[in-house]
Amino acid sequence: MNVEDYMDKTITLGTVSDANYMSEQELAEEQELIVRAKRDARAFGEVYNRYFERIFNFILRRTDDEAISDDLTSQTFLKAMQSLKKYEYRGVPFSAWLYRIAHNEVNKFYNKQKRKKVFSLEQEQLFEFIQPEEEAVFDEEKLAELMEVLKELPTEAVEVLELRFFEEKNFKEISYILNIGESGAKMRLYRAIDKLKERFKIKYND
Amino acid sequence: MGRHDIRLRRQRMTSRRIEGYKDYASLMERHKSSRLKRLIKLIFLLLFFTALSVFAYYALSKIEKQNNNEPEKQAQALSRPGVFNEELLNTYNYGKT
Repeated sequence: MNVEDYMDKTITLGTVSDANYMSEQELAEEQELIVRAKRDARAFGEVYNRYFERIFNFILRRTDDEAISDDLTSQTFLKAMQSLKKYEYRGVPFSAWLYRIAHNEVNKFYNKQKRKKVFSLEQEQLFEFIQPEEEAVFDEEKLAELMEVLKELPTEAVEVLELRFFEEKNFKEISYILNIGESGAKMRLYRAIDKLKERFKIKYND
Repeated sequence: MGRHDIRLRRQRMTSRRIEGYKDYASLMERHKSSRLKRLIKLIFLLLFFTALSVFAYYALSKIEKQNNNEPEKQAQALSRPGVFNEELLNTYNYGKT
């Protein structure tokens, strides 16, 4: 399929919801919990229960294997427990710190295994952000084409796309998780969208 | 061939299923054993460095002692009065060369 064929299709990237964004009060409450967890390892249980699902889902999306996700999630929380005393508030939620550890653990896993990175995207969630304009639902063919386009994008760009649209993180958090500058994170995302635009018509409201 | 693979999951993993993977007790166990391992490692490292510093101290003090002793002997030998006088004044054969 050539570029002209892709140009016929229109995709709308919807706005990212603010569901995951925390208010100042919520951030302060979370910091109180972290201070307690620093003093008492048992208080870390609350942190574990609060973030386990999100971290597990994040790792599962990066590995597409439940057993590996289980191991890496456990490893992420162990690392967090071990270095909790070194944790400092940097203006982003505590979850960003956990995501950063999880991201590093996943990278370590791929480097060790010398495997190709995997992004396993949930169809349901994908449809929340990418919709064909002309038709109500994506058909299999168009979906396969989209997968092909995403495959051709640089891995770093897919990482930002995934954090922005699937984890609903803001650029400050993304830059913290990936250990890059905020402008760098924006550049990666916009480049990815531009590349998608070469083949699809995209409306991106951010 | 790309550097990554994109896969599509038909169904999102349910919270209930993820809940099944939660095991805080085992995490705490791992944390405790890793703390113990780190403590043992730290003790071994401390012992190793203490032994190394003690060994280095004794080795250096021995070398220093040797270095201090050698010039002292020479100095004593040279400064002993009258040792060279016999040679300088050639008192062995009453000044005959």
